[in-house]
Amino acid sequence: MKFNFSLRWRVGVLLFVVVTCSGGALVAQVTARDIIDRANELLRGKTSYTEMEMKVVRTKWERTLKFKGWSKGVDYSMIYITFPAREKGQVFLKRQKDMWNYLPDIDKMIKIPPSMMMQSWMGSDMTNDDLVKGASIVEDYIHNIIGEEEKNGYDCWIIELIPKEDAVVVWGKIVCWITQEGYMTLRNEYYDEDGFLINTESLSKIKNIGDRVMPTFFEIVPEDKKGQKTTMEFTNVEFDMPLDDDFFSVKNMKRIK
Amino acid sequence: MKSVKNKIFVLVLLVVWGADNVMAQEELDFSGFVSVMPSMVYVKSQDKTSFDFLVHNRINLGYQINDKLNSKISFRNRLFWGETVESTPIFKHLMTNDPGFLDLSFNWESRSNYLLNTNIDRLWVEYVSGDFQAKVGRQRVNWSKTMIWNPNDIFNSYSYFDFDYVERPGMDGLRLQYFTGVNSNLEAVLKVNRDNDITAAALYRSTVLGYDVQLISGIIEKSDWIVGCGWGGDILGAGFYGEASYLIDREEDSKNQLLLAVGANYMLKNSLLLSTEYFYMENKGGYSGDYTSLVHAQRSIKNLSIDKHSYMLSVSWPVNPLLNISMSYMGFGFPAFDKFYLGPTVDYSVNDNLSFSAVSQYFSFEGENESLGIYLRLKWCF
Repeated sequence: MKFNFSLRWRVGVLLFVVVTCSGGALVAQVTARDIIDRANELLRGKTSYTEMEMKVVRTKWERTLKFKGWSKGVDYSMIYITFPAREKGQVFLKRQKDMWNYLPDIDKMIKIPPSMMMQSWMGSDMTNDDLVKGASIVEDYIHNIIGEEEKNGYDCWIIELIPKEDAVVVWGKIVCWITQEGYMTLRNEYYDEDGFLINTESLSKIKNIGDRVMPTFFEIVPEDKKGQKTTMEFTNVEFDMPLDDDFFSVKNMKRIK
Repeated sequence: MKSVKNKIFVLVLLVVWGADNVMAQEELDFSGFVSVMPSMVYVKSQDKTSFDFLVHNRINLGYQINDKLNSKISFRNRLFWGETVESTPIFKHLMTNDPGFLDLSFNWESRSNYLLNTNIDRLWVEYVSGDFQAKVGRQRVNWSKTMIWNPNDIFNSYSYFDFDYVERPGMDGLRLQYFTGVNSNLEAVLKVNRDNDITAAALYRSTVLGYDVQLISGIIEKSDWIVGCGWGGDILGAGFYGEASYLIDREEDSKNQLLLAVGANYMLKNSLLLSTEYFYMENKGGYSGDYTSLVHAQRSIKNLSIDKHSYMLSVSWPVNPLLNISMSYMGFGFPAFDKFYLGPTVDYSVNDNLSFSAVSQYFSFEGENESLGIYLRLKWCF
């Protein structure tokens, strides 16, 4: 359970950490926080529309989940499930800290209470909470550049994230590899409070998706669980289209397709 | 009485319309499932065990006619086979008994030990324009906030114990919705039943201090006025929700009736979900019944339970993303423990579209009236 919990958390950070700054120039004096902020922006944009395929892989089974997502900043998002058939049509809406789930078959709207935020989202390795706390990688940690290294042919900064004392976070430490050109996150390592590596996340399939160049495939591998992983791939993504705050409404939740 | 022929005509018309005009278009949305479910039910008072087999197929067809018009038809085809059909001559009549204005439940084939029935439970056209939408036809209007007993669900009450029907019944009528804000709306619904009785009500829903709150008011058939409210929110991290309806008899004040359901749920860090719900039903109608009433007779909010006090405790645990086990306890009467229900379930996801469920329903009423049902279901969604 602890593993699942942490894995979910990570997947969530990943998913909602998104983007800007394509091919950004190398800036001489950037702070570690700026780098994380820009890397976060690259994967997220001001607004975004994504189509995503998530696979949860275990030694004996594998499950796939597909969905469409709309987001605006960290405050607003809406997710429409497209696969599997049993879940198709379900909608999740997040406005600030509130979250709702709409079940179209029975026309029921459920407000998700805080204790359920840690629930696995749609049976995946993500929690509802992951949807709500997408910004914490910037706000809840103190960032330090601890080195530079070449990774997959890119010059990268290695940045260490230590949680702030008052932050409610799961990890004891996160280490990120971010390209010096383009602010692309290529690797994240997640450590527990005792300093043990728990999960490693690799980002790959770097593509020009229109207005930016970014990784489109995420793979999360737990350190001590052989044969287990979670992958996520953007099958379609657009950024910075106009989206009103009002788009993220109960009305649209019932109409979106 | 509307004839079966009419119904078949409606069905054929819709299928032809669907096949001819909309196939292969992106605006068409097609989904459903097929399930098979052998079952065994033991009834102590009759000292009898019935073995049955149910094949259940559901088809949902949605068609977006244009930007402003949507339509949908959903129906379920069920093949009942076994001792219940055989030993219950009235069964085939019960199955064609559609309480709606439209008679959309009919038997294709009925023999001594099997029955094939089709029931259309969604058949609507919807008009959407800006903040306004109108839906006419058979549809589900779900005003419920609680999980088990829903006194605000005045249009289409259902039985919690009918676990093989998660989509739940629809009603025939008109629903108008106007969205007054991102989280608020106004609704007016008109329902007409088989006897041409009208149920009509309005609802206002909004978010107040983090709570989804709704107020309702209306008239239920010929008999009652209703005022009610419902809420959904949280206290100390736990989900907290409820519904209250007050029925005002149009003729006798002494028959006024309060229905109140309050529930909470809390999820532990290991994903164990604890839920509880309490239902208070002022029983002015003298309504009472045994467990068969619980299972079969919940066609009105006045019949939601069989006692003044009902309560439910449940535990649900996702062992892993594929396997969920749960146990529900329901008690009727207070502080009595002699009328209760126990319902353990196991759900297992075999693959992305195939799932297996084992469900048991045990009712005990004062030790005399006992019933145990065991159901095994394999369900394929498409």
